[in-house]
Amino acid sequence: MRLIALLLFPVAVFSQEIRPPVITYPGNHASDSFELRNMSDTTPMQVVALTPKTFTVDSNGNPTFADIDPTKISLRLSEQGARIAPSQTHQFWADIKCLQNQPCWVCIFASIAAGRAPNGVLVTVMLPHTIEMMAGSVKKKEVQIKFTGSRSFEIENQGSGFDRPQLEITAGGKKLLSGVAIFPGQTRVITTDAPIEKIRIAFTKFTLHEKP
Amino acid sequence: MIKRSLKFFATLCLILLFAGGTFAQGQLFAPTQTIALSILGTETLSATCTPVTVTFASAAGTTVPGNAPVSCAVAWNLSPTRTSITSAVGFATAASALTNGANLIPSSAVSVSLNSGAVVPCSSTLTVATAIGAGGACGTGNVTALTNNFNSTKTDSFAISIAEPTPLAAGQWSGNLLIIYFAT
Repeated sequence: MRLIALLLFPVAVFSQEIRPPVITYPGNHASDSFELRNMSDTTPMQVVALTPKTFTVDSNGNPTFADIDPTKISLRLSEQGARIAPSQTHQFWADIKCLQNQPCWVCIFASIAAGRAPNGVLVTVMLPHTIEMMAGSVKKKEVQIKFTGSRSFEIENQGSGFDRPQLEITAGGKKLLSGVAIFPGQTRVITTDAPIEKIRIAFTKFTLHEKP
Repeated sequence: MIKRSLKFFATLCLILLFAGGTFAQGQLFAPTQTIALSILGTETLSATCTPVTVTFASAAGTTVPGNAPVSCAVAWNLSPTRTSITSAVGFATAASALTNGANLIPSSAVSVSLNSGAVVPCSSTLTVATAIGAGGACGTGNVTALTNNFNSTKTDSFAISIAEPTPLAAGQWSGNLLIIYFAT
């Protein structure tokens, strides 16, 4: 009975994967690729559009997206959309160049839909692929660490480099591992639930150890 | 006699050869070779959402729940240099969340409850120029910190309801609800 019901009223499962969701390149020019995989065995999916944006991040890490300035970033996509059969993977290519010899970053939003909704609301899932171009790295002398309370500290990047160090914070007797993107000329605020005992910040080319 | 001597000599050589090998095995050690092993695991982010469409009963002037909440199972396998996964829900154009020809239902008439939380109208502005338009976001983004949690899953439930206008124009109304998951 249940089988008959499933045959008559199949439940569409809408399942997709992006790989990688974030990638970082050391220079200012990269030929990048990313994959979208339709993980459903039955439902074809349509990548309706690839929409590139750039973004800024505030001191708490919240992004604000904006259109790409073509005088600062050159981005070419292999295609703008694709139809991906069940259990298939599609590869997209992007050629990105930072035009002002500074770090730059873009986020390519892939809008993915399955089927059509002549009546009602169609769910469209967006999984972005973020490309970060370091164009050099953060220098040790340009980084300042400042404790602003027993549970918070700031990482200030006074230079023009970009990096994505790994944080190891010991707080309340526990080790907390996390990452953080350090943008040029930006201060990033890190807070914890418990009092901080020590921190270790592993940048690409150096490591900082600090205590409050 | 010469033949016997040669036989003896050959046998002696064989004995010495094997004996020498045996002694050599016990005495010679090759330097330890270190083989570096490395794997670069691919970072992934996936979302499995069901159902694909949500329909609403026709009841002009009342708030009508969708036929089913949208459930999205999110799975990630990310590098330890990543910070968080943020989700956002909304419509591309606030003025026209659902359309029926020239008739429009604005996003402010649509509300979403995330994970059985407060019912939030889709009328906020999330960030500048995302796919979710100004005034079309259903509340603020939901941030999942990745601290000590770089390979995991979570499931979000989105219960959608619509305050239907009076009169509700006859015909088919349709729209696109955008659900965004991004890793930072």
